[in-house]
Amino acid sequence: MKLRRRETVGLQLVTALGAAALLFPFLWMISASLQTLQEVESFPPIWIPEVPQWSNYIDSVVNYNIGRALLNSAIVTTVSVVGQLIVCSLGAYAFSRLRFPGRDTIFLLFLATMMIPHYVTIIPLYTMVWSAGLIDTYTALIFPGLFSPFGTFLLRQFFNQIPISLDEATLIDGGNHWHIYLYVIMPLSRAGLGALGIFSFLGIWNTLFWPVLVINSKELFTLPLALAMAQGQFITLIHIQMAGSVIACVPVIVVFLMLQKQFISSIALSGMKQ
Amino acid sequence: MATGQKAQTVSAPWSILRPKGRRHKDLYVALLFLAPSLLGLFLLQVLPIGTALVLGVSEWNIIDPIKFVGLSNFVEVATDATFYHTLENTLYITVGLEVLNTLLGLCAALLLKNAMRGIDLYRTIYFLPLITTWAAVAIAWRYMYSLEGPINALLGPLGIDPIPWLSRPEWAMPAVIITITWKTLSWKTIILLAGLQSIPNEFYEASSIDGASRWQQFWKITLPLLSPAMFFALIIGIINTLQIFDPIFIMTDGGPADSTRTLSYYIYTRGFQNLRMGYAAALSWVLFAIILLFTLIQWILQKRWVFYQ
Repeated sequence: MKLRRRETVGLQLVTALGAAALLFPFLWMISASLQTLQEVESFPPIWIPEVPQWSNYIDSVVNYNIGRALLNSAIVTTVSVVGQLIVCSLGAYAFSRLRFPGRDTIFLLFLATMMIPHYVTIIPLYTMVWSAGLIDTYTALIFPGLFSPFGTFLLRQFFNQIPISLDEATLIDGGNHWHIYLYVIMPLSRAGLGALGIFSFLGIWNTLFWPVLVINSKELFTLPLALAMAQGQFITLIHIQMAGSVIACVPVIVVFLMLQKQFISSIALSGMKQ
Repeated sequence: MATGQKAQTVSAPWSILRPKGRRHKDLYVALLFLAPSLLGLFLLQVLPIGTALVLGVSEWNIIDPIKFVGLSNFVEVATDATFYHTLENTLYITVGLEVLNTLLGLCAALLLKNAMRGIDLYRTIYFLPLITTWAAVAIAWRYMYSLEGPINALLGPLGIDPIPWLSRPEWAMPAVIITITWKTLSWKTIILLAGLQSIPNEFYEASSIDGASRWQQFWKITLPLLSPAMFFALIIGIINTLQIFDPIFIMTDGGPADSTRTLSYYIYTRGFQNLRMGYAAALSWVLFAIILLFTLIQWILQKRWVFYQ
């Protein structure tokens, strides 16, 4: 469809306006994080701080638990994402490449659990964690992230696209299934692993509900939980909270910028929402 | 997904050499590869779902011994006025979000489809809210909604008096819907954009030659051919809205006066604030039934408006 010049300018203008509206909360967040408490509470609001208060960031990290929370989030997210990639890729390999009785039934069971809403399983899961005495532990934060029916399903789809003749070549060379998994399937599935990686990274980094349930002590707060809890405690310290919020958003934005294409095509492909 | 299996039976030369028991040949290897997944499936899905069934017919505050109460939880749900109120709220937020998200998502997809200068930057900006941490942005929105906050400051010059966004029952839900739209709009956009890009350009060229206007093209080509993507986005969108938690937890905690307490947030309230695990589990099964029902109704209605090429 060819557009006339005037239309192009009009489209560009509308797109830019939309972008400005979507960016506005981020800009306000950054601006507020650099203001003094007095500035951030003034009316009408100050859009650009007179002197940027970079010390707010140091303050939030050092004095308001954001540093510790950042560390916790980094630990929990890294272990969960790496673990999930390993567990899901092993399972997906079995569904894609191995023959055993009940394969399709078990796979169907995986798919069926994706239909059950989170709310049905989270109550029993909480009672299980509570009974096992795992409240307030890293284990409680990490183990639900290690397994994902969706991830197994997604990787199986990717694995199925790899020609079976490559497996045969490995077998003829005297290799076994472990070799096929490690040297054929995994290296050829970087796109799929990247897609699942970014989904699980965003999902686990951003998650709030589960940490709200299983974590009580400040030392184990993840970033979203620390931000949510600061809400009640430092109700007036908007500038510090906004500094914490910016800190929480930076890693996801960086990862997103690196893997943007994979992320968008995977959503279009699978309809997954983080 | 069938091609992988077919290729395996057709092209594996050595498989002919194993006449019997082929279906079992990888059983032990499969057990090794599947062990972590099966453990996860059991601990995180099968066992919790089974427990949820038991909890649904029990009374349990976690501390005292669990007590079997039959169907009385479900009877209580049926007569619980707050439950019906949260159901209304759920309908409100779902319809509001779907209408706003679909209209704006379609507009955004139509804009981002065009090859214009800086399109990559625009796309990045449009997708930014979707990926950022709910807790972080919801706190920002909470302050932005304050009576003397930036949103009212922006509305002031337009002649709009300051709106008590989060402190009045009639304004809290619109405020929450606006925020969630801002956050999730681009998910809709991505699905619709993929749908738009799959419509062959020849359709537009051919209809242009026949003298069709842009407007006609939109109604006769774009919308019908986009309907499968819209249908898909509608189903997943509703399922996601029915399970919303983060923004309500941060911005309103279900208030003021229960005006933003959706069914999913009510489950959290009963289970984890009032420690009524049995009742919360029963409510979660009701939520599951509603999700199934919604999906089923849409599946039946799709024949009337979804056009598959």
